[in-house]
Amino acid sequence: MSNPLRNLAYRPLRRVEDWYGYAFGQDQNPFTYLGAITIYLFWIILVSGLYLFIFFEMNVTGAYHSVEWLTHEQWYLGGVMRSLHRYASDAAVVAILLHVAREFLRNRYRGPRWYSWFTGVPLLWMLTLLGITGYWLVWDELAQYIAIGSAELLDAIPIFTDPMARNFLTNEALSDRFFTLMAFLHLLGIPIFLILGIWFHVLRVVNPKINPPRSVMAGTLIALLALSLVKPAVSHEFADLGMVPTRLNLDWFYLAIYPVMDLTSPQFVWGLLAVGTVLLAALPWLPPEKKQPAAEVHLSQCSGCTFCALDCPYGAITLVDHISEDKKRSHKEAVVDPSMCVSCGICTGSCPQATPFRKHDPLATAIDLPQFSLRHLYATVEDNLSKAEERPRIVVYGCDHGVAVETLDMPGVATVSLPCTGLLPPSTIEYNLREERADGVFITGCCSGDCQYRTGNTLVEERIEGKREPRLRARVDRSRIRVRWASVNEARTLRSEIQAFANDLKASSVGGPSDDAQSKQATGRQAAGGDHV
Amino acid sequence: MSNGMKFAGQVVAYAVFMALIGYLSTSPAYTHLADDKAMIKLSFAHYGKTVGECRERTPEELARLPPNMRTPMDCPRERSPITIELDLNGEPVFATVLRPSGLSRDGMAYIYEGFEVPAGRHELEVRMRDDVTTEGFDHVKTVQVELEPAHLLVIDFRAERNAFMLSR
Repeated sequence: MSNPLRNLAYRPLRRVEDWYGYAFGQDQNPFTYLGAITIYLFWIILVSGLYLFIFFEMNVTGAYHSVEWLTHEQWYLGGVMRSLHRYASDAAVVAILLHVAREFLRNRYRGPRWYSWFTGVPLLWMLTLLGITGYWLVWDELAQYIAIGSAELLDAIPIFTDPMARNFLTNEALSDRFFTLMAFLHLLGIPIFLILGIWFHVLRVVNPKINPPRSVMAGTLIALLALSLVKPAVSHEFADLGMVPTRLNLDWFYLAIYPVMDLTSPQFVWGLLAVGTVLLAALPWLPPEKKQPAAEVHLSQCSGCTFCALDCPYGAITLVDHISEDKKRSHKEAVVDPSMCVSCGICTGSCPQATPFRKHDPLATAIDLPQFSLRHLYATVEDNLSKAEERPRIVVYGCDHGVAVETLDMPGVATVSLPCTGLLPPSTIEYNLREERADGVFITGCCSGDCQYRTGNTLVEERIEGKREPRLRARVDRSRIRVRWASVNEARTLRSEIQAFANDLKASSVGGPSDDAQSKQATGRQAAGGDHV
Repeated sequence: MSNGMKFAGQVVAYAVFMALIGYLSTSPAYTHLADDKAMIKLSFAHYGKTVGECRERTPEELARLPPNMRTPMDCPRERSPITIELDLNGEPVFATVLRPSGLSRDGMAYIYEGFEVPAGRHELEVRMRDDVTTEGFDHVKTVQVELEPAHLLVIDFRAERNAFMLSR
């Protein structure tokens, strides 16, 4: 899918995301924690499932009656647990579908990210099987419908000769062994594979977000509890194989394939599932994408400080022993794995050598993007600043995935779009503010916690706040820096905030004659609005 | 946005999410079988008769075989395909020929088919031919049945009784 088409398709979802962002705050927006929310929902499913299992009787008649007892006699705990179990499972499907749609529409599944996408596909199967086997265990009319439907589906695979569906022809033909098998699959077999699958899914992700924010966890649990009380999960009538279930209250999140099979055939459903699975798994290579060049290490500049390896969100950089010409190991040096590199440039931003204050001509860094070098960055900034004559003069750094910086152009503003704002070395900010090159620096990019490259905006904040190497020096006047992460829909808001920033700079007489004098005056000043750092 | 507004927004956001889950977890209801319909399932697993007769091996043939395989009788393994037909109220509703399973076609033949029928009184006739060496159907059963709505009638063939059995 081309980028304009992708952006068009993403627009409705982005509006919903933005709306949730206003309500929850950008850094706690549930849409940026969909994977973590799914894992959290699995915890709820696990705990509620363990409680249900204590009372569950694993035989044809006992299964239904034990669930009924929990639902009606112990509604205040067992019933609530059952409802939580069901609704958390349904919520997990919604969260996963949104997660998949979002990663696809934001083009975050290709290149080095193929691994997480590819390993996520079996998880969809496991989740569906977990849901189906769970409904089977209740042994009501719905379970009967699912059991027969599942058996007919399996019978359509030519490797089976004796039709499994014959086991569900009459009540007498039914065996408790099916419950043992289903209970094993639902309680142990599939969950073990699911946990393994999740581990594989996040294996290549450095510091994956496993837990959503506590407020989101609490809110989700309260909402699920409320739903459980308002609409408790209940069973259908006890299964009777002498009768055919007529009207069923299907859980469409898990059981939609069965009506499709009724309307078509088991072979059609298998075909649909097979084509869907193969297509989904192959998406990272459809069509093949021209890969951006990976970051390059300039060994003559590399001191082996490890900052780039620590900051790389994809674990593409490792430190190896540097062997000097006399075959002696001296220090470490960075090595980039091109197959893991997403060409974000965060490593350049983390490199302490990427500073204009070094006496090195031409400007050099130890790690750089060939397609967006540090030298190119400085040349662009200088060029754009020279065109911005009006004071106060502001450099606006944006990223290629947030608000398009061209839309923020206005008198006195020099805009620069980076592959990721994480590419910006803190020393660049200081350099911009020195010697009246610029009066202020405004940094924007993807929403907080939702960086296209996972951690770019967080790293920028931490570097400016002095919490992470390389730090922005304490002597730099923070009131001349403003950081505002924003959704791509917020161009107008950003323009107003840049204007307000310019007004604040004017009011504090920055943009006047002496830069150093202004720095001293402005230290500790806070202007209204935006995030000062 | 004020904190109150944010809180209200979160309540609405969760409510929308839960409403979606609450609705789709049971609704819209699905009609698997119409209220005035019943179902007939024709299903059995059955060995057809062997295709050929056993014959006695000659002493020369036996001598050519390894000692552990010198059984005096040579019996063909392949079994007859099974022809099955079902009529409802004199109208044919199903007819097929089932091939025995196995690479040597010496296993059971299986069938599992379901038919939705209007509830009420019906005349059923089911016929099976399981021996290609004879003419005509080997097993025929004609029966009048009264099917209540949503009832399931199973037509099975029981080898131990060598006859079709109906169960409701």
